[in-house]
Amino acid sequence: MSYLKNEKKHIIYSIILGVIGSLIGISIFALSGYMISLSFFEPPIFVILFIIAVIKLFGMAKGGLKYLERLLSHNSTFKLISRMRSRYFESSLNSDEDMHSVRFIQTLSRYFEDIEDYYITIIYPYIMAALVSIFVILLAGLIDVQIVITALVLSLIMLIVFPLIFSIWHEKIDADYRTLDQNAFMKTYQFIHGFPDLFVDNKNKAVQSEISRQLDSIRHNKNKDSLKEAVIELLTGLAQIGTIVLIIFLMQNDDVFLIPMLILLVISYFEVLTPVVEPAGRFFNTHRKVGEIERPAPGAADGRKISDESITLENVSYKYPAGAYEALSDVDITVNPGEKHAIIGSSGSGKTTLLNQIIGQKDMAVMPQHLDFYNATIRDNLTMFGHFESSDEEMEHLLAEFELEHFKLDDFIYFTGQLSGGEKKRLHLIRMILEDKDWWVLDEPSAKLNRELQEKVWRKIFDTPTAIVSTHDLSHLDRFDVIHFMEAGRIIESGGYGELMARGGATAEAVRRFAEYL
Amino acid sequence: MKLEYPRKWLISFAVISLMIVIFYILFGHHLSLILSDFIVGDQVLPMEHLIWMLVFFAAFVSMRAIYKYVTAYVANSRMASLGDRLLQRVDDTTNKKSESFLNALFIHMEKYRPFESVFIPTIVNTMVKLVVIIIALFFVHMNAAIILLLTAPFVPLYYVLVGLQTRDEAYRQASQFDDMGTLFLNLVRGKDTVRNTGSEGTVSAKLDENNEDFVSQTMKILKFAFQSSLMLEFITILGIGLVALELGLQIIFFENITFYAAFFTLLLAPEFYNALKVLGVEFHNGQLARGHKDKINEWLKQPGQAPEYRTQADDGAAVALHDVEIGFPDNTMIRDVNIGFEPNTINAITGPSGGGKTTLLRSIVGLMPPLAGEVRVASYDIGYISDDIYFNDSTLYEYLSDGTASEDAVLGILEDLKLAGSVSKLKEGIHTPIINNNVPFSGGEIVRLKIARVLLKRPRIIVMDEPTEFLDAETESLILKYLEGFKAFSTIIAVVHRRRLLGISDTHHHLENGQIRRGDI
Repeated sequence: MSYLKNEKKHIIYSIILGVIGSLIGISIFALSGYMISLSFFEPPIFVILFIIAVIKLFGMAKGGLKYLERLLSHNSTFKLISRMRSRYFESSLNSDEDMHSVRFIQTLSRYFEDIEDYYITIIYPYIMAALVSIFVILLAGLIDVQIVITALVLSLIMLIVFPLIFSIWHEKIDADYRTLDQNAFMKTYQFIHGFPDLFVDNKNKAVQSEISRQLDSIRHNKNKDSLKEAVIELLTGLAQIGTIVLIIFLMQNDDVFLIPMLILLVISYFEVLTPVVEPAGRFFNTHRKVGEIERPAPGAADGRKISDESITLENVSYKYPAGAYEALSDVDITVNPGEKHAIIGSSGSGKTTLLNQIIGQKDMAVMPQHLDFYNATIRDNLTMFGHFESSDEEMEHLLAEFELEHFKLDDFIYFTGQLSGGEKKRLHLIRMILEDKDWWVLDEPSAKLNRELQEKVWRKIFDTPTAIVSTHDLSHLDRFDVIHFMEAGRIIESGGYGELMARGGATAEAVRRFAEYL
Repeated sequence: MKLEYPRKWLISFAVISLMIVIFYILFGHHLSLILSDFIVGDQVLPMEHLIWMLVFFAAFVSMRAIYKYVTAYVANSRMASLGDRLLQRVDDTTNKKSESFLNALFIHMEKYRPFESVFIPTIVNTMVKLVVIIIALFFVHMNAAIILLLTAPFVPLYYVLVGLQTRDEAYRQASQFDDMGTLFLNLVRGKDTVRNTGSEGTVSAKLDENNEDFVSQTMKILKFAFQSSLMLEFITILGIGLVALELGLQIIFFENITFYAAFFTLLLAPEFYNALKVLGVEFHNGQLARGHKDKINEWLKQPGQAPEYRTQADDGAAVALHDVEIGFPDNTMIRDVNIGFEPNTINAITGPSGGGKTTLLRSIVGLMPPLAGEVRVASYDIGYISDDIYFNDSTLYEYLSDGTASEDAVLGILEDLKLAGSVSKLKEGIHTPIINNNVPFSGGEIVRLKIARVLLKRPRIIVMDEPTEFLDAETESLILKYLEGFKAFSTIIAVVHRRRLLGISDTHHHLENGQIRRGDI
């Protein structure tokens, strides 16, 4: 709740406005009922006209208050969410967690939607309903003690008992839903990615029907949720009729004159209470989810940039948190300024893992395996939102050089799927050129490009003073100062091109086979 | 607005809605009678009316709850079958757009669901309510009914004049972005690059700026929406005020209205206006949900899985292509393919990348119907070797044996292919479940696993896409050794990138510029 600080005032105003608005709404109904009863006792005409005028004015006031209340509460909630977003982003910068998975991003997006729901549909209306209830109970004191007790019991049932009961039910349905949704998602993901194998094995239909069954389980879960909502409607409806009947019985020997007023009052009081029950039943569940987003304030940058001229890794081993094996074992590597290093080996041998260990050791420009682009203009994507200084002419020239003239600097990237793998490689390379660093680290820079573009990319790499490149493309291997051959997480041989070729080991074998490539 | 919904359900919903409204009106009728007896009658509680009132109210709330459940039930069933229809669109090309597909099935579907489960039932229910209340009021107090009829058109009129603008703007904003479209989400996703480029400060400032835009944009749209409800509120107040004024005057001056009619009217009039308000709000929500349906529809337009188009005949060639034309309706990639692959041979296919080699393999495997011509196979039992693997949360044993081979056979073959060492690194050996395709194997090992599978299953036809990346020396010699052996029980069709493999082939076809011709060996 520490986020509330700045918006506190607005939120308090909006709650006060909301309470006054609801009370006015209730009094409109009460006055209408009073008026009817009164009419039959032949009051002076001006009294009736006066009441009607008051009702109208109240109505206008209620509408106006409601408008202001909604503006204030939404405005402060969205500002609050904005600040949480900024804070979340800043803390994610310090996290080493891989956040590229679609699932992670989807969950994050849902959690942020939950926050909106948390404040606007769960918390504010509940506080308002509770305050209105206190007023109603106090007002009931004007009539008699029995009515006070009725109002008290009613608000306890509607605001505490029902929400607690439905909270438990909701918890179960939602937990089931999350599991079902997660499983169906994973299964569909596997279905899409494993489709060629599944098809050839004639198993695609079976997997598809399995997902169908999971979707059907989601349907059942949704039906349970609808059942819950229907039961809430039924129970609140029954509470309403119960109250009306009770009032008729309680008042029949008292002032019958007040009955129409009280009944209309009950009906409109329920209009405040009923919409609160279902959201209140979701409070604890949503509260927990919101808690998952609240992250500790970002700490100071960890200053891991080492100012030493060269990079040295000694006896480095690495195991992925979920992996059952070592992705890197006992790796030693030293890169001095001005050197060009190539890391080669078959896929899965640990090249990318090794590069990830090198990245961040120094002030360097990096082309990682996963290239990130943002929903922004090409210009913002190339300059990292203006972080790198560059002129439009320079960028346009580079786009043309890498055959990307079809992009204009003001073109907007709406989603990254819009870019092909080769386009991403080239756009990222331009980004690195603008970054203008002496050290470059690149993972598969020439993949997914045609021959001509590959040459252009290699030229840029060899123009940079110091470069560490992991690659399958051995066409320029002789131009590297040091070549490292990796197998199963180890560097099995290292050295200059001539030396390794003379030795006739794994590298020489790989170069020979690369030449056989058609 | 046209509702694309089966008529039988719309009629059923209308019938239930009719019952709900009628029960409510009957409840109001008895409540008004009770109060009438109380206030202007003999001030005795009429038990009979009280019981009827209770019965009708109970019937009203039960019916309302049933309506809610039934309409959601129907909507959920329709959503499940929409999901099934989406699933049928998955084919071997979907993985290139997997994010978009998963969004359609898991995000857009959920955002569209309220259209089916809330919007449509509410619209039907509200329409019925409006009509029935007006009719009832004509019997109870005609003047009030006339006032309602005269003021009601202001609501839709207002929406036509002002509301449409809001809707268009909101709709444009909602559909402009993909669901991952907010800058915040893709910055979190792409935080590594922000960190690598040291642009944290610039980007955070940009995010703050973007957040401010987001708040002001959202508030602009909401302001429109709130203004609309304020106007509706005023129209409602005006209407109800007029009804109340008319009632007051009737009671005092003309004394020709009963208490019953006055109270009943005052109970029904707000219901009428509430219904109108609901219609306005839902109209807005419904429109937003439709944007998501459009995203789903884009996928439903995809061709999806092709039905079996190959013919099977076990006479002569293992695979025969007659006058085959391959490609897409607007882009024919290969023409005049006439090849017969003889049984127990190795057949190499070469050609520049992007020339259609893989597409040709896909049509043999059954994944891509040819534009014209006939694809005949001796058997549908085909094995597939590539460096791409996907474990569907199975164990290595399940993957390799495919439910037929024994554990000993699997272990033996792993030994032959020099995979036993890699497998022993796994916690439970060949029985280690491989979850989320967290594949602990190198490219070469994957190819060897595929070979192991082919050795165990012995398919009549083997299709191979030689890895374009270089393989370790061991794997490469294993491929050469086993491919020759496969000839004993199978016909091999391989896309080949290296001369050594070409050396052991019986035939060679070269694919270039949309033409396939015999190549040298």
